Amino acid sequence: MEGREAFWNISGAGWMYLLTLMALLFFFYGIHKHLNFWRKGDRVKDHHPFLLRLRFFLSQAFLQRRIFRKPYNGVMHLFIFWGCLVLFLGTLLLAIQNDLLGPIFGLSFLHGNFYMIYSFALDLFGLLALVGTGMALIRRYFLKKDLRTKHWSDSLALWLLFFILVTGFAMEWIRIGVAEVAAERSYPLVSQIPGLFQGVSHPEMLKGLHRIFWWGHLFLALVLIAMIPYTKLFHMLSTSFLTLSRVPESKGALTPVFLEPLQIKGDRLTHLSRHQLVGLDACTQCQRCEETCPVTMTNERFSPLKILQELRRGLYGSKNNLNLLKETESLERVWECLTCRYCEEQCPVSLEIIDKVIEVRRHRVMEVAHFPAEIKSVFRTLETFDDPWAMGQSFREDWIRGEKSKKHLRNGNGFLVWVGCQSAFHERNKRTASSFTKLLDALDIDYFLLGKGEVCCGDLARRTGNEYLSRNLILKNIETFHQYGVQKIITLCPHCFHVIKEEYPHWGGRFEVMPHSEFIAGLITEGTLSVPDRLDRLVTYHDSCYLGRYHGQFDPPRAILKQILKGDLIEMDKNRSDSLCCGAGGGSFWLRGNSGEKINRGRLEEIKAKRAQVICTSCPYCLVMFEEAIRNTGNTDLAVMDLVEFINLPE
Amino acid sequence: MEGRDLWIVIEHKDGELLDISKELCSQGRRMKRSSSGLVAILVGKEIRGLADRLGQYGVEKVYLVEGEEWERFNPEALIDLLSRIILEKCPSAVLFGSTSFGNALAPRLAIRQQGTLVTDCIDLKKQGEGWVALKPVHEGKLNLMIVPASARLPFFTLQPGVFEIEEIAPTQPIEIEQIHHETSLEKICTKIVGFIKADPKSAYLEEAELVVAGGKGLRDEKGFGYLEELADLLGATVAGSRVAVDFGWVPYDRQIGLTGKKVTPRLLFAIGISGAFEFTMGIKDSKFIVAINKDPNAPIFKVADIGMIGDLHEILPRLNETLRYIKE
Amino acid sequence: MEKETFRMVVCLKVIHELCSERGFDPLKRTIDPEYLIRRINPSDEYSMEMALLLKEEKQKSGGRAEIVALSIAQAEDEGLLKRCLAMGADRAFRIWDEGIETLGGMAFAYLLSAGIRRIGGNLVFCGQKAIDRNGNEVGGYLAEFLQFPQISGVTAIDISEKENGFVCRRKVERLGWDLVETSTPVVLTVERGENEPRYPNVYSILNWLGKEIEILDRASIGVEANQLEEWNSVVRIKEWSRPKPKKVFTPKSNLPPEERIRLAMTGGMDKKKTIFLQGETKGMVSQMVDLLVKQKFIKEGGKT
Repeated sequence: MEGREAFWNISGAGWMYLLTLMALLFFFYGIHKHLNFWRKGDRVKDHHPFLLRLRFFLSQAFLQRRIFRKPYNGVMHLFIFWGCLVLFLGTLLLAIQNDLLGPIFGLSFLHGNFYMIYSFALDLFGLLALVGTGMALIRRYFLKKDLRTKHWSDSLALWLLFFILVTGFAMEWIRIGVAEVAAERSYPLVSQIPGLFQGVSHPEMLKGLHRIFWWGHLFLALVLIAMIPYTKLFHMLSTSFLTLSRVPESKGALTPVFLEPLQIKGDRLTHLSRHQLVGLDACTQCQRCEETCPVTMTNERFSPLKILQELRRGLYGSKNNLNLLKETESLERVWECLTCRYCEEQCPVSLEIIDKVIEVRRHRVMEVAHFPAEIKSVFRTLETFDDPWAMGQSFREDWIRGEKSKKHLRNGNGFLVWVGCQSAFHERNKRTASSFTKLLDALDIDYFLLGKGEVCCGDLARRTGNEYLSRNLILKNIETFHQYGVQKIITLCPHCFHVIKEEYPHWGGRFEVMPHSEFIAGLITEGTLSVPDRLDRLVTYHDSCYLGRYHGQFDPPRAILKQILKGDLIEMDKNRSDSLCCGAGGGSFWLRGNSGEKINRGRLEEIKAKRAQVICTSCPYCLVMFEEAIRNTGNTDLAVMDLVEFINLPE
Repeated sequence: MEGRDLWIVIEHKDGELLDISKELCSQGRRMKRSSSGLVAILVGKEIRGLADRLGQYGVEKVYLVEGEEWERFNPEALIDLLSRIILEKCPSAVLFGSTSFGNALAPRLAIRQQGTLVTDCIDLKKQGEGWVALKPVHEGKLNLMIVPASARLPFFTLQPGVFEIEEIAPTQPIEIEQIHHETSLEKICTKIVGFIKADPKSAYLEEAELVVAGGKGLRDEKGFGYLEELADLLGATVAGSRVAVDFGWVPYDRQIGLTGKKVTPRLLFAIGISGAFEFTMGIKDSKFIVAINKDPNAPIFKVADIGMIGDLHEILPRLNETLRYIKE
Repeated sequence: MEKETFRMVVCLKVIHELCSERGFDPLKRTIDPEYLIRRINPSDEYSMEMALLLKEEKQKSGGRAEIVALSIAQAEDEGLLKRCLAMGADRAFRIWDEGIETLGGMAFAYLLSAGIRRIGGNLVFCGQKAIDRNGNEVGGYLAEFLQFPQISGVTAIDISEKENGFVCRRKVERLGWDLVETSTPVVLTVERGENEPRYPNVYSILNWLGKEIEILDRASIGVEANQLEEWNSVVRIKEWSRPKPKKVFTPKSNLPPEERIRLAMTGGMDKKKTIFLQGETKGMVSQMVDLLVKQKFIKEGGKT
C-alpha cells in the first residue's frame, strides 16, 4: 500500500527548505535572547531530583488540571494543545521519513495500517485543534471583548493557526480528491470527501488552488514558528522549562540572603535566580491571579500580574540588578501584598509570585532603605524590644496565670509550646495561650514554656524583606532551642509555625513543628481528648492562609469542630484553598493605608450571608482582624474564637 | 549659709508672670530659712509692674534688669548677667523652672559658678546645711533622691505644675534694686532672626501634655465638635483612634495606637473609645487617663484611672459648660 | 576660596531604659536588670539625622562636612553604637577607662568635652536628656567646658549664607519656634527633631560592623583621675523610690497582712483600679471638674 506522496503537485520544493531555514534562524535568535535573559540569574545549587520534576512537568503539561478551573478555557486550551502537538508530531514523522530515513537508509514507515492510524489521528486532532481555535476566536471577539492584556500579536497567532489548519484540511481534501489515491479514500473521516469531488470538471483549477494552499500553509506555519519567541506563544517553551527546572516550593519557604557567615554574595543583596527569571518570562498574562487576588479586588492599582510584568520589563534589557528598576506605580504598591498565595494557587503554570514580591521588598528595605514609615517603626521596635509591640521580653509571661502554669516555665520537660508575640502580648490573644495551656494541664500533658526566653520568630521581618534583622532573631531563637534541647514544638500561630518549620532549617534549626490545631486533632483521634457535642451554635471555620494554602492543613481543625459541634459546620463558599485572606498577612497588619481592613469586612459579609453566629479561627491575626471588624461594623451578634477556646467551653 | 538669700529666676511673657514662676516663689517661700530672704531676678523690657506683683507670692526683694535688649530671650547674655550678679551677691541657692528657659541657663551657670545642679525636681527640702531633691527618672516610672554637695552653690530646676502656688498678703512693700548691665554684643554669637508660631492643636502628638482623643462613640461631626471644644477649654491636643481617622475627623498624624502614635501626656481623655489593645498600647504611658463610654464592659476601663459610664453626647456638653463657667 | 567645613560631633548615649515599674523592687530599692532595655537614647538618633541632613546640604552647596560620633560606652555596647553609626557617620570614637562605669552629669560632660577637643569638633550635637537619668544638663555643661555658645531645643537646622553659618529652629514651649542664626563653633542640644531618623541600608550596617570604633582612654584625652572624681562628686545619688500614687489606695481587707502592708507601701501600683464616677450626668460632671482642678489640670479663673 502506498503512503503519502510527498510534494504531490508541488514544484520548487527546494524553496521550502530555504524558507524553513530562515524561519528557524529567527526562531533561534529569539530563543537566544530569552536564554541571555535567564542566564543573568543566579544558579541555584540544590535541585529537586529529576524524576520528581519530570512527573510535575508531565502532569502540568499534559493534564493541565489548573486550567480547567475555568471549564471553557480548559477545554479550548486542551484541544489546541493536543491538536497542535499531534499535528506537529505528524509533520515531524513525515519529515524524518522523507528527509532522513528515506534518503539515508531507504526506509519508510508511513504506509499500510500504520499510515491509516497516522492519518486518522492527524485528522481527528486537527479537527480538535480547529474547534479549539474557533473557541478561542469566539472568546476573544465576543465573550471577552475587553480583555486588558490583549496584544495584536496574540490575535495574529490565533488567526495564523486558524488559517494553517483550514488550509491544511483544504489541501488534504483536494489532494485526496484529485490525486485519486484509492487507498486513502477509504479511510475514516476521509471517505466522504471524494464524493464532494465527484464529477469535478476542472482538476487543474483545484490543483492550482492546492498549490496556493500549500505555499500559504507553509508560509503561515513558518511565520508562526518564527514568531514563537517574540510573542505569548513562547509560553509553550518557557513553562515547560520552568516546570522541568524546579518544583515550586510548595510550602512557600523563602531562600535566605544571609546564612551563617554574614556576607553579601557577589556584591548584591537581592538576587533573582535563573528559575525566577524563567518564571517572569513564562507568565502568559492570563489574569487569573488578578481576578482572584483579594487586594486587587479592593485596590485596582495593585495586581500580582502587574508586578511580574513590571519586573520583567524592567530587568529584561539590563543586568539582573533591581537597582535599575524604575519606580512604577505597581512596584510602589508591593507593600500591599498579603502573601496569601491565592495567586499562586490559581496560576495555571504554577508560577511563584510571592517570592518575587518579597525580593522587591528586600531590595527596598536592604539596599535603598525606601519603604513605608510604619514598617520602619516595626523594624526599630523589633530591633530594640525583640517584638513588634514595643513591650519587651519582661512582659512575655504576663498571660500566665496561676502558680501551676508558672511551673512550666523553662523546665525543659516534654515538648515546647511556642507562644509567639501575638499570643503573649495582645490582650485578646492571651486567652488563646491560657486556654491551650489550661487544656494541656487538664490532660496532664508535659510541656514547657520559654516565657521571657522567646524573641519574635522572625516571620514578620522576613515577609517585609529585612533579612538582616530576621537572621538575628532566628539565630537567637535557634540558640535558645538548642540550649533547652528542644525537639518538638507546638505553635499557637501559623506564621510562627511556617517560619520555624520551613525556614529555620536554613540556619541549622531542624525541629518537629506542629500547629496547635493539628496537635489537638491528634489528641482527639487518639482518644485522649473527647469533647463531643459541646456547642449548639452555627459555627463557621475560617481557613488561615498560612495553615491552609501554605501547608494544606484543612482537615485537622474541621475534625475538631466536627466533634465539638452538635450540628454541622457551616462551610463558606470560599473555603479551604479558596479561602479569602483575613487581611493581616505580609506585614499588612502593621500598615495603615492597606486594604487589609476592607478585605476583612468583605469576608465578614460572606460569613454573615451564611448566617453563622460564631467564627472559628486558628490564627491570632485572623482572630484580631475579625474582632476589630465586628466591633467597627457593629455586628455585635457575631463572635469570634480560636479553636482551642471552643474546647474549653463549659459543658 | 545663714543670711544668704534664696534666689528665683523669673520667667514671664507678654507682661504676665508664668505659673512656673509663681510656683517657684511659693516653694521658695516655704523652703527658706527665716533669716534669709527670698529674692527674685527679673529681666526683661518694661517689667517694673511685674516686680510689684511678685510680693504676693512671698518675694521680698527683686533684682531688676530692664532694657530693650532684654526683650527677646537670649541665653548667652542672660548667663553672662546672672553670672555677674551671682558673684556679686552670693545667694544660698538659685531656683529655675525646668522649662526650655531654665534648662538653657542653669547648667552653664552651675559650671561657671563651680556649683551643683539638680534638674526637674518634684520635691525639694532643706536638710541641715544642705538640700535634698527628688526627681523623676525613666519617664516618671521611678523617682531619684539626690543630695548636692554642700560646699558648692546649688542650682535647681523645678518641674512645672507640681508645687502649690500660695498667694499671701505681703507685710512689707517689696524692695526693688535696679541693676545695670552692659553686655558686649561681640560676645553674643547667636542671633534671633525670626519666629514661627505654633498652633497648639497641631503640636507634636508625642510631646503633648494634654490630649483629648475620640473614637467611634462620637458618632458624627457634632459629637466631634464637643470634643474639640473640650480640647480648646483644656488647652489640649486633639487626637483620635483609627476609627476617628477613617471617618475623617482627625488627620492621620493624630492617630493613636498600633499603626499610629504613642503618647505620654499628663492627662488623656479617651472619649467614645472602646479600648481595644491596638489603641491602648498607644496610651499605656499616660500619667492620668479619663474614659467616657456608655458601655460599662468596654476594655478602656481596664486602663483608665477615672471612668464615666454614660452618653458622651450628654456628658461632654455639660462638662464643657461647667469648664467654661469656672474659667470665668 | 577656602572651603567651609563643619566638623560635626554627634554625642551618643547608650541608655538602660526601665520598661516597667514592676522592675523596681520597692523593699530592696533595686532595679531588676531584666526589665532594662539597652538602646541608644532616641534624642541622639534625631541628632544624628539632623547632622546627616546638614552634611548633605553643606556638601550640595560646595562646603565640606564630616560627622564623627562620640560616646562613653563599653565594648559590649559597640553593637548598638554601630547600628546608629550605620545611618551615615564617617568615624566614631568611644571613651572608656577604669572608673568610668558610673558617672554623674558633670563628669560625663567633662570627659566628653575632652574627647571633643581631641577630635577637633566645632559643631556638637547632644541629646537634651536621656531617658534613664533625665539629666537635662549635659548639653549645657558641655558648652561651658568647651566655651562654645549653646542652642537648646533644636528641632531642625539649615545652612545660611554666613560663613560656616546655619539657622536652626529652637523650640519655645507651647508657643512655637525661634529661628536662631549662628555659626561654628556651637553646641546644639536636641530633644526631638522634625525629621525621623533614617533607616540605614544593609550595606551601611555591614560596613560599620567591620569598621573599628577608636577607643580613647583617659590619658589620650588628657583627663586625670582626680579631676574626674572631683566632677563626679558634685552630687550624691541616694536612692530610688516609687512615685506617689495618683489616688489613695486602700488594700482589700481580705488579703493577708503582709500583702496589705506591701501593697500600701508600694502604693498599690500593681493593679490599677478605675474609679467610676457615680450619679447622674450633672453629678458626674461636677465630680470630674473637681478632680481636674484638684489634680491641677485646670485653673479656676484662668488658663492652665
